[in-house]
Amino acid sequence: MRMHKYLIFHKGLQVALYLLCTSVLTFLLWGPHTLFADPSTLERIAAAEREVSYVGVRLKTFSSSRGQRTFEELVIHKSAEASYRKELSVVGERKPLDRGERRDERYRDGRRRNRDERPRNGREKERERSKWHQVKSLFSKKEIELIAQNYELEKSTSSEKIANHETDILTIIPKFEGRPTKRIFFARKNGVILRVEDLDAEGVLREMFVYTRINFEPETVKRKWEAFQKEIKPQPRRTKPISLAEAEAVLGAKPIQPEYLPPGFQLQNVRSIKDKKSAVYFIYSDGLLSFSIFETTGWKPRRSREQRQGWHVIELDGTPVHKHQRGPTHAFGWSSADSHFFLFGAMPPTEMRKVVASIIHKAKQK
Amino acid sequence: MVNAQGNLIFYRYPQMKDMNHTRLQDELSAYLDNELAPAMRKRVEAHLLTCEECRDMLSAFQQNTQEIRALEQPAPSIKASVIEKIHEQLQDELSAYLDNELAPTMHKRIEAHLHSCNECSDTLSVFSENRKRIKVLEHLAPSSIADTVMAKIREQAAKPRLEKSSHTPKLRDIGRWLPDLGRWFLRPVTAGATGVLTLAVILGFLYLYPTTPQYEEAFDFYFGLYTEQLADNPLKSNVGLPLRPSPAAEPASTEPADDAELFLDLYLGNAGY
Repeated sequence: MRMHKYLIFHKGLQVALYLLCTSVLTFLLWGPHTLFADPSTLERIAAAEREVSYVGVRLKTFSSSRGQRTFEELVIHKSAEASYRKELSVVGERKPLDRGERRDERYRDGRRRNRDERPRNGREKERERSKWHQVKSLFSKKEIELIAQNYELEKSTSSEKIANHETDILTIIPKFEGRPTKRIFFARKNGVILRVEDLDAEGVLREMFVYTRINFEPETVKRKWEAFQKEIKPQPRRTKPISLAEAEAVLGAKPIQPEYLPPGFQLQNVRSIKDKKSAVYFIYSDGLLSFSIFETTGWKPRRSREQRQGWHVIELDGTPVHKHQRGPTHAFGWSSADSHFFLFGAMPPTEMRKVVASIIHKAKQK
Repeated sequence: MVNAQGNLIFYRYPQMKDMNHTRLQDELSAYLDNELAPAMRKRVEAHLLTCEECRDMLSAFQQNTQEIRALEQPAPSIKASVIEKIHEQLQDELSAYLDNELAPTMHKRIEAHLHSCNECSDTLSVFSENRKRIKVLEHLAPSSIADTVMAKIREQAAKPRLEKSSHTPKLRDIGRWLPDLGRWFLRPVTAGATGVLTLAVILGFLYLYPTTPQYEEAFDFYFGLYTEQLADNPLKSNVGLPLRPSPAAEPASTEPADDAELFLDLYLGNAGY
C-alpha cells in the first residue's frame, strides 16, 4: 500500500515502471522466437540418428498432383553414414480421376515416353526401386538452428504406440505463411524417429512414413548388416560441399547470389558437382523448406526445336525465363551475363520469381 | 571242274583256279582286239565256255567298244556345222588376205581353203575386181584443201582459254551433259571417292558437332540433384504448397496458356462436369 502510494506520488518512478513493463511486453511479443522454440528435442532426435542403430520395415506414402503412392521399405541404419533403404513392395498407387484420366494428359505422356531418348520402362524402374539406396540424413547444427528460428517447436506426449514403442511428438509449426508443418513421432526411450507426417500449407497430410516393425538390438542390427552388405553397393556422392571462395574458382567468376530471399531463408550449403567442371549449386533453406540455385559457366543451353509440354517462357527484367512445374516443384531456367541458372523449389511461384528477378538484376549490375 | 572238251580238270591247289581266271580276265581286252597269240586265244576261248563272269565282262567290253567307235565318228550334222563355221571365219579374212595383212599360218590356211571352196574363190575374185575399180576412181586432192583445213585447225588451237571456259555446260544443254555426268559418277573410282568423301563429311560433322547437352537433359540432371538432397531427410519438406492453390494465392498468370488444356477445360465446363 505504501509502495503503491509511493509510486503514484512519484511520477518519475511511475513512468520508469511503465516503460519497463512496456519494453518487457514488447520484447516478449516481437522478440526473436528462438527464445521460445526449444531445439533440445530436435537435438535429441539428431543425436539418436547418430548413435542408435536399428533395422526395421516402414510404410511410406506420398501424394502429389500425379496421385498417391504407398510402399513398404526395409531400412537398416547402422550409423548416420551407413544408413540404407530398399523398397520391398508397393502397397498401392492411385491417380486422381479428374486429372489422370484426362485424354490430353495421357496423350502427352505417351508422346513424352516415345520421345524420351532413354526410355525407362517398367522393369527398369522396378530394378532401380528394388536396389539399396543410401539414406543421407543431414541433421546438421545449422539446420536445427534454422528450424528453431523459423518454426515453432512443440513437444507433446502421445498415447499412441508405434511398433510397440511408446512415443512422444515434436510438432514443427511454421511462423510464415505458405510453409509446411511437420509432426515427428519419436521413441520415448531413445529418440529414434518412428513416424513423420508432412502437412502442406493448408494442413493437408501429403507425405508420411511409419515403422511397422523396428529392432534396436545391436546384435540383430549387426547380423542383418552383415547379411545385407553383400547386396549393398555404396554409390559415390555426386556432389561435395565447398566454400564460396572455391565456388568462385570453379566458376571462374564471382558467383551471383540473389539479392532477395524469402523470409527466414539463408544460404545453407554450397556444393560442387562431380560431373560438371564449371557448375556449382547453392542450397537456401529455412530449415524445412529449401530451394536450390544451380549456376554454370561456359555452357550455352541448346534447346530442342520441340519444346517440352508444360514449359512456358516468361520475361523478367527483360530476360526470357523458362518456367516449368514438376509435381510440387517450380523450376526456372535462364541465362544472365555469361552464366546459366536453374532454380528449383517447392515455394510459392511469386516468391520464386522475386528470387529470379533479383539474380537477373544483380547479374546486370555486374 | 570240266573243260571245254568235257574233260575233268583238277587243280592241285584251290587258289590255282582263281589265279587262272584273273590272268585270263586281264587278256579279255586283247582278245577282243584280236591281238592274242593263237595258244592264248584258245585258252581264253576255253575259259569263256566255263566262266560266266568272264563272258559277261567280254560282252560288256564289246558294248563299250561299239559305243566308243560310235563316238569317234562325229555326226554328219555336227561336221557340216563345223565346216560352215570355219568357212565363215575364213571368209571374213578374205579382205585381209587380199591386202597381204595376215599371219603366215592363216595365209596358208586360207589358201588351202580356197582350193576346196568355190564360194570363197568367187568372193575373192569379186573383191579383187572391186579393188581394181576403186583404184581407177582414186585421185589426189588439190593442195589448197589441205592448206585450208590446217589453217582452220591452227585457228581453233590459238583461241584464248577464256573462250574455252565460257563453254561450260549450261542448264538448257542438260540433256546433253547430264548422261555424261551420270556415267562419270557411276565409274567405280568416282563412286568410291564420293563415298569416302561423304563418310569423311559425316564423321567430321559428328566430331565437330557441339556435344553440349540438350537444355532438357541438363534440366533433368540438375533436378535430380535437387531432389537427391531432399530425399530421405526427415527434417526436409517438399510439400509447402497445397496441391491445388486457390486462385487468390497465385496472381493471374500472364504466361501463354496451353491451348489444348484451355479448350478442354472450357469444354468440360460447358458440358457441366
